[in-house]
Formats: sequence, C-alpha cells, structure tokens
Amino acid sequence: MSIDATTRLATEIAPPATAHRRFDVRRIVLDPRRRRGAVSWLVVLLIWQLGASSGGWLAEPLPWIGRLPAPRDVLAAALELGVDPGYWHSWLASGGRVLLGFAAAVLCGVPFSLLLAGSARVRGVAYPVFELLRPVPPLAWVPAAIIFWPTQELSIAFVIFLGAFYPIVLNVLGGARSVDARFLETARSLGASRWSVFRRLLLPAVLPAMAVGMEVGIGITWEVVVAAEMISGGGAGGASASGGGLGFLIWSSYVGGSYPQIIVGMISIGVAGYASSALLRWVGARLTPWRREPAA
Amino acid sequence: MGWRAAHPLAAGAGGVTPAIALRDVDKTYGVGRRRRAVLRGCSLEIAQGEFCAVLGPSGAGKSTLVRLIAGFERPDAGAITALGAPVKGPGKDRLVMFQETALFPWMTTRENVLYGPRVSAERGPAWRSRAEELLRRVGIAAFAQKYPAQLSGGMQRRAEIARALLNDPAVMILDEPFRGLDAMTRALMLEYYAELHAASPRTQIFVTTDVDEALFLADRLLVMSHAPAAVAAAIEIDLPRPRSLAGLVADDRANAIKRRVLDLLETEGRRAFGGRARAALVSRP
Repeated sequence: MSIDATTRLATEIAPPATAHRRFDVRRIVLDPRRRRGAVSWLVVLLIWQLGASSGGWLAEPLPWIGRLPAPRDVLAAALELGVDPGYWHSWLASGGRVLLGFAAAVLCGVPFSLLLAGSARVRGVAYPVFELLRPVPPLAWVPAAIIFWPTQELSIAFVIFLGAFYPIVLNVLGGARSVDARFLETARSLGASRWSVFRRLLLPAVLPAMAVGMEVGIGITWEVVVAAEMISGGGAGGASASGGGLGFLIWSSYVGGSYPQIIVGMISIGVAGYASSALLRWVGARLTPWRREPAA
Repeated sequence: MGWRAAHPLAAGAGGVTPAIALRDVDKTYGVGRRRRAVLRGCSLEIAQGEFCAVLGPSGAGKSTLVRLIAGFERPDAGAITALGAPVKGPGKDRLVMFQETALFPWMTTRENVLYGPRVSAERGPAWRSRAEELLRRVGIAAFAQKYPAQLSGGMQRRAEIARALLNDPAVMILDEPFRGLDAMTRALMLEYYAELHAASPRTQIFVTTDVDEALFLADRLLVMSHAPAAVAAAIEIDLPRPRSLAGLVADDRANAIKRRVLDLLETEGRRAFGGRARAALVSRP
C-alpha cells in the first residue's frame, strides 16, 4: 500500500506544460482578437470619412460631424508633420517630461507607500496629509507649480509627477495591506529577520500591485502633460508652433486654425500613451513571472 | 505536577516532559460589544511523538488553539509550554501547515522548500541535497522549478509538507490541511501523510472537522467544547496500524469511537446553537 499511494500521488493530474511561444505571423494575423480590433478600426475610419465628406445629407442629423477634418486631410497633415523636425522634437519634449515626472513619482511613491504600509507611526503622521492633497487634481496645481518652480520644464514635470504619484502610492499601499498574514506567520516561524521579510516577502508580494499602479500612473501622465503644456505654453520649445510638446502642438494648431494637425496631435498622444502602457505591462510581466497563466 | 496526576486529560506516561502543554488558557478576541471569549480554561497535554487530532464544532476555537501553540498570539491567561519551555513566540520547533496553501507564489517549489534555511542564513550544499531528497520523497521533484500556481492542490500540499519537514520541527501543527481538496486527492494525501509519519515519527497536532480523518491518523483525539472552548473529552484511538480508510468503515471498534465522537460533537454543536439563539434574543432591544 505504501508504494501504491506514492505512485498514485506522483501520477496525479499535473497541469499541461506551457505551450511554445514561437513567433508565428499566421497566428498573429488570424488571432480573432486582432481581427476584431482591425474591424472596429475600419468602422471608425468609415464613419469618420462618411461624416467628413457627407456635407449634405449627414449634416442634417449630425451637424457637427461635417466640421471634422477628413481622414485624407489628416493623413496629408501627418505626412507634412512627419518631415518636420519640430514635430519629432515635440515627441521628445513630451516624452522627456513624462519620463522625468514619472520616474520621480516611482522613486518617491514606492518607498513612501512601503513606509506607510510598514510603520503605523509614519502612517499616522503622513496619511492624513496625503489623503487631503490627493483629491486635488494635478491640473489645479498648474498655476501654483508655475509660481513655485524656477523653470517651466520643472513646473510641467512636477504636475506630471503628481498625476502618477497618487495611483502608484494607492496601489502599492493596497497591495502591501493585502499581503496574506499566513505568509508573514510562516516567515516568522522559520526565523526570518525583519529585513528578510521585507526583501523576500513584502517586496515581491506588492510587485503586481506596483506594476498596476505604474501602468495606471503612466496613462495619467499623458493626460496631464497635454493639459500642462497647453496652459504653460510649451516650455522652452514653445517658440515654434510644432516643437513645444504634443499637447502644445494641439493647442497651437487650434489657435492657428490648422485643424487636421489637431487630429494628428491627438493620435500621436494616443499612440504614445498606448506604447508606454504596453512597455510597462511588459516590464511588469517580466518582473512577476509567477503570475503568468499557469498553462498557455 | 499535581494537575497531571489528577487530570483526566493528561497524556502519556508520567514524568516525561510533554511536547506541548496548555494550562488553564483563556483567549478573548475583540473589545466592548464585539468581545468574544474563544478559549476559557483550556488545558491539554500532548506527549512527545504523539499524533493528536483536535476535533470540534466550527467556531470552537480550533484555529485559535493552533495560533496560540504556534506562538502567533499570546494567551490572555494561563500557560503554554513546548517541551517544558514557555512559548514566547513563533519558532522553528513548531511549524504550522495552514488551511489552503501558504506557499509563497513568487518562489518556485524548490525556493519555497528551501525558504527556512535560506532566511536563517544556514544555506549550503547540505540543505540543497536534503531539499532535493525531500522533494523526491513527497513525489514532486519533477515540479521543483514550477511556481505554486502551476501545481495541483495535492502537489501544493506536499510542497508545503516538504517545506516544513526540511526544518525538522519537533511539532507539526496542521490546521485542516486537506480542506479544499477533492475527495480522491484527500484520501491519497491522508494515506500519504500516515506513511510519512510512520517513516519519521514526530509530535503531530492535526486539527480537523472530519472524524474519519482523525480515526485514520491519530493516536488520540481531543474533542473541543463549544465556545468559550476547552477540551470536552480525550479519546484514545487504540486501533492497530497501519490503518486503511476502507478498513475503518468495517471496523467495529472504529465505529464505536466514531459514534461516541459524533454524539459529543452533536451535543456541543447543539449547545453552541442554543447559546447563540439565546444571546440573539437577549441582545434584541
């Protein structure tokens, strides 16, 4: 019976091995999710083109849609901007501001939230202030930031920092609070030191929440950078219409009456936000390999 | 010492230090209107090497008992000793296997098993080879590189057993360890755990709500009363080993013990319900 039970246990159903992750063009193209995505994009473009070129019959029920620049004009504007170095400078300018503010938010937010989670005393002192400042939207800080910081770049970066700081802190704090008590008790039983509990338990346990907080945070930074650039006038690059950042580009295109450029700016920000979120998702997945699906 | 001689709950031969002893332990949770006495005047002794099952109606303080013996919490009154020394906190000599899994999700099975020596700075090739041997013994060596989420429920339980056994605890405390497993896997795990215990005996405290589990594994069975709980009865299970789950069904002596335990549990359960119903009536404005 003794051997019997062991062998039966050994053959107990195991999850299947992970499927191969080879790059396969056919599978990517035929992936139903991608197909559905492509279809919805085609529909959006179709409605847009119809609306823009309809003039007469659609202008009756939907008078505003005819005022949008047509996709063809937007494409032309995009090609024009594509060879304008100022446009690419705007990418760099906005990207740099986002990176600076976001990096500051991560560097301050992660240790701050771990301190909040780890020490009741820190929580008692800092949390009330945090909770009072949190509902103040980052954009409400723009005037104060312009007055307070010596350069406009720093003001913009500071507002971006605020946008990412709160979601990072809230997520990490939530993650730290939901660490299973049994983990801590097991660690204490096995003689883990405080430092070891922090390094081997708390840190990996909050990593998934940290990844979520950063993903949410970077999305907000793109929302904030646009508004901050519109209000503060594009910083150092604001002298040229296209070089002061993507947000400033939209604003100056609106002021200058070049409407197709507005749409190009909007799409640029959409692409930038999507790409940075995707990058963070990828980094997050690399850092938390245990959270990959058990079997593909 | 007078307590030992006089008390019917005292275990084993007199004179030998018990592995675990509780004397008049009280434990209350909450304050004010939420105050709830879980253990009151709870005394028990578990002899070294004894396989002791703890049974009781739900809410009878079984898990509290586990937490107190493990040292996660301190009693409000009374004394708890492990091998004669007062319990002051958690320690490697008393390891707990919780309900469901407490494997660290971010560590592979091997890293989980090696966690104990690793955090106490005792790492080395000797531990590694012992871990590999344990992984083989519990039959999950092929899954050492997998994360817990990639293991089945039964394999997770075995990884956890290996993690505890690597530290060679004097007392293993199991709090409904096979709860949540399907009936088949559960029966296999029970057989497996009995074999493991026979191969390397140590003091075991096995909390369960299932009389059959207790009959199959234990030398002695403590039945808890309803809350505030104490030990209502201690029943020797002097059935020959090795036992089999199927054999117990047909065994008259086993069935006699089972009837007695079920009677006790029913009485305690009814008392708990009655008490709660009365409390609800009284507290209504």
